[in-house]
Amino acid sequence: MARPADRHLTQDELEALVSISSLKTEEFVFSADDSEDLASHIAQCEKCRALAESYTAAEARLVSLRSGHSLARKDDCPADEEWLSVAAGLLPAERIDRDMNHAANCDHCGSLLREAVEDLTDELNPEEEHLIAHLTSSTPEWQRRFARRLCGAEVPKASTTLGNRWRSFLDVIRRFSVPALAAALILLILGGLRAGQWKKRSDVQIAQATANAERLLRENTEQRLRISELSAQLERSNTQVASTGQHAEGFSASLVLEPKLTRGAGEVNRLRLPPRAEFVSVTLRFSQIPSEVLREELFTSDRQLVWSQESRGSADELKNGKLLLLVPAHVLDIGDYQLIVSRQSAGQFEELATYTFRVAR
Amino acid sequence: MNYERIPTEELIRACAEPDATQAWEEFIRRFNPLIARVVVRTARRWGERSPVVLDDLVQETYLKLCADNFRVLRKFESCKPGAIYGYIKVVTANVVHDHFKGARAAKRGAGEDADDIGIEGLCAGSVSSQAPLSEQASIERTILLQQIDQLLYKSIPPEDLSRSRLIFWLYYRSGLSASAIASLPDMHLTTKGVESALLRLTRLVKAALMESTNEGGKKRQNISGDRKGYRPAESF
Repeated sequence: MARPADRHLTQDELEALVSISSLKTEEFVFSADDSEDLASHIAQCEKCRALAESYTAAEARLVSLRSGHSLARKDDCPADEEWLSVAAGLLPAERIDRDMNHAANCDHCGSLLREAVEDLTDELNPEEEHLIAHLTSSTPEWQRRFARRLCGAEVPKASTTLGNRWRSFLDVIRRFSVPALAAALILLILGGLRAGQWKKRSDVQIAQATANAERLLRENTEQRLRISELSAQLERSNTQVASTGQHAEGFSASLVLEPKLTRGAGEVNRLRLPPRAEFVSVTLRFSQIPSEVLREELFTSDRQLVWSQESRGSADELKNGKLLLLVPAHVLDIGDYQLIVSRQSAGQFEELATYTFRVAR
Repeated sequence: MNYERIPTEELIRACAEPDATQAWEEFIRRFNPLIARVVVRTARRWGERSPVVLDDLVQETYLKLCADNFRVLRKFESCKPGAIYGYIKVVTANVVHDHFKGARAAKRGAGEDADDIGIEGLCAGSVSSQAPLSEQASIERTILLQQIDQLLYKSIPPEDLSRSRLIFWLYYRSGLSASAIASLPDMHLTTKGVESALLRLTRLVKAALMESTNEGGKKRQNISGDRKGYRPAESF
C-alpha cells in the first residue's frame, strides 16, 4: 500500500535514509518497498525533502570533525610511545582517564590512540587470519624448535654439572681420609655453601641463556641489515650473475650447485671459505623454479639444521632457473652440508630438491 | 611438570629457570597467537606483509623478551589479572615499530631520499589520507568543535558528561570505531552500549545542527547560544 501523502518521515526513517554513518536504529528494518515509498514521498513532499537535505548537511558537518591529518604534538601531549600502554590498560586508572580525555580533544594524540587501539585489537579480518595461519612461526614444529633455541641447547645439563661438582667434592674427602673432617665439611657445605652453589649454578646458566638470546638477537639484526645491503647490491648485479656465473663484488665466496645426490667423494662440490668470509653466495640450478614460497634449509651431515629461510624466486631467477641464496658464513664450519629446498603447497612444505657440498678452509 | 595449567606469572618464572625448554614451549604456545596478531597488525601499518619479515618479527619479539636476563619480563608488575597479555602486546608492537623505524633510518643514512623509501618505509598512520585543511576550513572546524562541545555540556547531565563527551569525540574527532571505544580500558561498555550512546548523542547534535542550518540561511547563529533551537534528547 502506498504511503499516505500526509505521513511525514519519522526520525528513524530519516536516519535510515540519509545517514552515512553506521549509527542507525537497530530495530528499524528498511525494506526495498519502504525505500521506494520514502523516495516517492520525499519527491512529493517539500517539507520532508527540506528535512532530509538539512539532515544530510548536519551529517556532513559531523563527518568534517574527523581529523584527517596529523598535527604536530603540543607541549601538554603525552609521549607518543605512551598510547600503546594506554590502549592496553597498563597505566594507572587516573592517568588513562586523563590521557584518553586529552586524546578526545587533540587531533595529534587522538590519531595515535586510534592507531594504538587498532594495533592491539584482537579482531582480525579474514586476510590477516589467513596470513597468520600460514606463517612458519605458527607451526608447532617451529615453536618447539625455537623453544629449544631460546633455552640455549649448548648450556650444560643441570644433572651433569651437579654430578661433576659432587665427584670433585668426594675426591677432596678421599684425599684427606679423615672421617671427622669429611663430616665437618659435609655439614659446612650442606648447611651453608650448598644454597650458594645452587644459586651460583642457576645464575651462571641463566646468564648463559641470556647471553645466548642476546647473541641471537644481535646476529639476527646484523644479518638482516647486511642482507638488506647485499640484496640491493645483488639486484644491481643480477644480470652479470645470470650471464657469467661470477659473484658480485663484496661477496666472500660463491658456489654453484646442481640438484643431485653425490655418489662419491670426487663428486662433492667444494667450497673454500676464506677466514673472514661474511656471506656465501650459493646459486642453485633448477630445471624450473616454482613460483610458490620456497623454504631453504641447510643441514650438517648429522642432520642438524644450521640455517633456513623462506623466499620466492625473483622474475629473473624464475626465468633463468637459478635461485641465488645468501648464506651467512658463520653458520658454516668445515664439513659436509645438505641444502634442502621445499615448496609450499596447500599449507605444507614438500621437498623439491636436495644439494650437497663440502666446506673446506 | 605440566605447564599447560599453571598461571602465566608462574610460567614466566619457570621460563627464567635453567633448562626451561618445556616452559618455553608452553609460553610460545600460549602467546604466539597474540604476538603474531600484533605483529601482522602493526607491520601492516608500515606496509609490510611479507611472511618472511613477519616471522622474523615474531622471532625478534621472543628474543626481546629474553634479552638482558629477561629484563622485559622481570620489570613487568601485574596491576590486574590478565595485564601480562596487554604488556606483551605492547612489547610486540614496540618491537615492530622499532624495526621499521630502524630500517627507515638506515635507508636515510644510506642516502636514499624519502621519496625512494616507498610505502614500507613510512608508517601509514602518520600519513594523512586527506589534504590539510585550508586556514578558513580549519577555523570553521575549530568553531564547530567548540559549539558542539558547549552543546554537550549544556545538554548532558553532569554524571554522564565525562564519559559521553569522551565517546562522542573519540568517535567523531579521533575516528575510533564503536568497538574500539568499547575495548578501551575502564570503558565498561559493550560495542552495542557505545553505539547506543553514540546514537543518542548524534541525534542531539544533529538536531541542533539542523536547527542552526535552517536559521543560518538567514543569518549565522551560534548553536550553543541561549536562544531556542534544539530539544535535548529525552534519554539525557
